[in-house]
Amino acid sequence: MRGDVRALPVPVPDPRAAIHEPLARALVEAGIERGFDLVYTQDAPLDYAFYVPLHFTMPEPSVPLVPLHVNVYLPPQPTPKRCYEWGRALGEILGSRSERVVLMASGGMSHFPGTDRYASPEFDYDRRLLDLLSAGRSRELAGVTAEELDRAGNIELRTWITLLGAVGDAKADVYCYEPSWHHGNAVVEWPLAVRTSGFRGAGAPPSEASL
Amino acid sequence: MVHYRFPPASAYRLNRCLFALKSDDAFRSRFRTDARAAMREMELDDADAAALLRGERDALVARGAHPYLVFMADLRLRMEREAVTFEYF
Repeated sequence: MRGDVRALPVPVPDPRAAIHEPLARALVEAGIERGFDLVYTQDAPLDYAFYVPLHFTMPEPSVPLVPLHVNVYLPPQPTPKRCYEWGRALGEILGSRSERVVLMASGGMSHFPGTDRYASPEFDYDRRLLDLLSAGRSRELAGVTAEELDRAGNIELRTWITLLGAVGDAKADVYCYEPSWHHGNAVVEWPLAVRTSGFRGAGAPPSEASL
Repeated sequence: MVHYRFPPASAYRLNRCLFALKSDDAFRSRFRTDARAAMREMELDDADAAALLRGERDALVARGAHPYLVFMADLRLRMEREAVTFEYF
């Protein structure tokens, strides 16, 4: 099984990404067993949300992927609480397996594509958010409302919140925050040394998580 | 929600057309060659087609188009028509 990678004209070394089918199937099955009504597809092109971060991070030789979609734009989206809970389950499932895994979340930060707010993101909201992550208070994001994310131009934060469920209360390393005229951009990582209970299990845990 | 609302069923064809402009290279090519024919292919009504031809974001959103799809459809059309830097995106 392979996923198509296409769209924006940025260099993509390998235009088709190998999918780790055993892990993908295990996540769907274990997630459903835990009460998350996941759906899967064997025919979904991967767009820039996937291949831009992979362009900068994928090692050579490349490693197989398990692309996880989170509906961030089309109402009704999953609640932040639900994203956090799924992330926690995801960490537990991964921790029970033998694969060595890196979790990555892409998206955000504040921006308002297609609206009058495009040129005025909520940079202060982003900075407060990064302070929370640095302080290991990421679980507080599970309590934000969908309305708050919409007002702050941070509806894509649902992918972050999913990852946060997996990293738990670990403190983030915030490498940078760079506001542009229309977008807040950050790079954040939770390295192996600060991994928390979400990844404990019978097998080898995910090695790191990053945004 | 203030910015991204539930899309009404009345705008299904319009949003499907915008999604195709965003993600379907072949459809976008047909649209650039003959926009009216491409919109007929998507069964857009006259008002949707007129708003899309004029590229009027607010009119499209008022008709139920998802703002993100309007943004991305416009961006990808412009990326093919002119040099748009990655920073602009």
